[in-house]
Amino acid sequence: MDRRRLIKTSGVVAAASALPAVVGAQAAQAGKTPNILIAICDQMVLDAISAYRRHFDHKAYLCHWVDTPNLDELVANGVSFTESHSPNPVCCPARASIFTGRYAMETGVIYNNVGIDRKLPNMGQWFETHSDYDRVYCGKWHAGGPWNNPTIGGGRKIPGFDTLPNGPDIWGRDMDYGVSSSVEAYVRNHADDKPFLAVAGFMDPHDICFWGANLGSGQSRKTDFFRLEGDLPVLPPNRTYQFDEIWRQPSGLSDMQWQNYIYDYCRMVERLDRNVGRLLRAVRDRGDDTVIIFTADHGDGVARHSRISKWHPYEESVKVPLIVYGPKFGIRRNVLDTTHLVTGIDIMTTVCDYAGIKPPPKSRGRSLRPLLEGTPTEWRTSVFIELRRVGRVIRTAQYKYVMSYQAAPGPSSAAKSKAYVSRRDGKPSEFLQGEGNRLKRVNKAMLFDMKDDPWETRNLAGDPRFRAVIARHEAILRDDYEAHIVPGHEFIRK
Amino acid sequence: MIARTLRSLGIPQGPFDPDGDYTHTYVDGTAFSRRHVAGEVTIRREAGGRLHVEAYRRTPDRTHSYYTIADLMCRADELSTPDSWEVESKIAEKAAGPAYLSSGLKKRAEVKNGVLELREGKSRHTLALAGRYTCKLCLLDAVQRLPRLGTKEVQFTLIDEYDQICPRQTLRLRGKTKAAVRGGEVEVYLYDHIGIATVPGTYCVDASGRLLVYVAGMQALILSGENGHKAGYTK
Repeated sequence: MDRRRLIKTSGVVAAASALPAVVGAQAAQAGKTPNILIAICDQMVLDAISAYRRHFDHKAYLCHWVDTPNLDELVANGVSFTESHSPNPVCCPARASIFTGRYAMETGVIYNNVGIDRKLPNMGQWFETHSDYDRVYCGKWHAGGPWNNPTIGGGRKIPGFDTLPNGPDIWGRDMDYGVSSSVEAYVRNHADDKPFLAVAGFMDPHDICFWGANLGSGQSRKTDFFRLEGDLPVLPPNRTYQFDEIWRQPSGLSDMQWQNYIYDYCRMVERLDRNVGRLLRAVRDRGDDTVIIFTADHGDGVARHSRISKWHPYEESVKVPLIVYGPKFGIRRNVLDTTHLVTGIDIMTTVCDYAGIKPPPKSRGRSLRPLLEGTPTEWRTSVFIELRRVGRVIRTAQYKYVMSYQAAPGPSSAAKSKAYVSRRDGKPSEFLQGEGNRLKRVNKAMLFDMKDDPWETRNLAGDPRFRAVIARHEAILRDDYEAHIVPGHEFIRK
Repeated sequence: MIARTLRSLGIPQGPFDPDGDYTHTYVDGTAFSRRHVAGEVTIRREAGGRLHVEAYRRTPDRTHSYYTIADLMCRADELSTPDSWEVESKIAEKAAGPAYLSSGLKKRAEVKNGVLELREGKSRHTLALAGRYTCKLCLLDAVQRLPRLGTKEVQFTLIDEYDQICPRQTLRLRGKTKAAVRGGEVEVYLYDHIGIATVPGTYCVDASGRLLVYVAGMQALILSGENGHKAGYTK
């Protein structure tokens, strides 16, 4: 795709064309590989960035209800994607995929609190053995077993990373300022002799998970408890739409409670924004010698389809922000890419590309570099999303097709029999190779036309006019993903 | 949540003067039912308006904590408006110990004519500050003055925690009520705090102005000591 076409189809923010394109030569001019800083937050929906107001014009999108100057600055000076997907909209599976470049059926992290297959290197381990990067992790990791944040040593150390220990448990406010200021210090203090790979794992806005248990307590179903009045957000148009699914069921909140829920969620995103601001300022003060990647593991229901939390296949759950910033390394400014289907799986391959090293064998992602730098490239036409171990989603430019499974008989580990592993001794639960794939198809499918129905209110799966579309998407899953990802896979077809 | 917390709180005996010298210590934990304790915040006010704020939060590594230690020169007004401050943050084994793995950073700030000048490491930034402002933890001191001043509502810009701008803040009197505490009943004032990047929260102060509890979302700060004496908070 040439530059003119990319800009046309990507809905570039108006000012972008006025800015000179920064080309790869400038990176070469720097003569060194960039530092890499990944800021990964938890449970952030894609549209909760105020810079996106022109793209998401419906007033129910959260961009109209948040003030995020620092994320806006990243958007204005980097490339951001609106077709960015979580590999698997649950904390552990998503994070394991992002930091290995492999799908959950390969990492074995098919739901929360299960450790990554030890045979697969994580990003830190790969950089440790293939580069001279210093590697440090601070904050939420939650991809190594039944614990969130790493320790300096012992069973809760992330292999391949040094640790800036922060955050005692799962509560956001307790840790994110510590994470941002510790990583800010690391960035500011790091000497120039070696590049660094630093990860800031923010908790916000994940604490919204506990809104019902705590944040919303004392708030009646009808009262504007804090007199928020005109600051209470508009409810989404798909608020009452529900489908016959096997995913988590809707929450029975009143409209006022939903408004308060979204209001609080927006404030958490703004809090996150200030933490990102510390990192951004530190990078700028270093002379922009760093590529910043901002993303999230998954989204949140935010009242859409009457949902809180994640786990489900709707846009609010599977779409995540992805912004890449690096003006000194050829990454364009102010480009809003609205066409290319990307996924968190791509992050591993992308950071390897910028570090000048090969990605691990069988990495499933693609380097985003051509998209970031405006280099013509053929791009994928579908994205594959896993839903815990009981769902598969194929997203193409126009459609989203959701297939459901249930566990099939077969050998299984303890991890499989426990949705939440309660052990806290730091040891990841073991799993058996392929156990995440012994599934039996169940007859609950969903098909959405994302062009005509972006709020996902009409399930077309039972409409005979769409049989060919469904067949095509099933073929994509079978031929483009299952067959390559797990040769000899053990899917049991009904 | 506040009522439940107050019921287990022993109020310090004796008078309290929010404009005088005092030291308050707060348990920094979660309002969640498990009463998870993350650390402590200690705020010491000295004559002349100097606030010394020391906060630590435990890390998963029990040998290390995350510390912020700040000194602020503040006015004795509704917001304890800081004119200048210095803050050090680090991960360390103890407050006076060296920073672990390059995690230490010092910042200095000064506000003049509506401009915040921030020195972060070797860098210097200026940020515009519109109208009234304060730092987040200065509010622990400021709200104690509100009953005496009769403040109903104040609007301001919040600096979170010491270096990021959050506009459109409102601190507003919710009301005055009697509340049960351990061993009796006290009159308390409730002040709500809302604004950008602020999960709605409530400050609860007694009639003399003493801040007893602050709850916002998951976070709860609960008075655990005054001038070296335990406040008798029981988990």
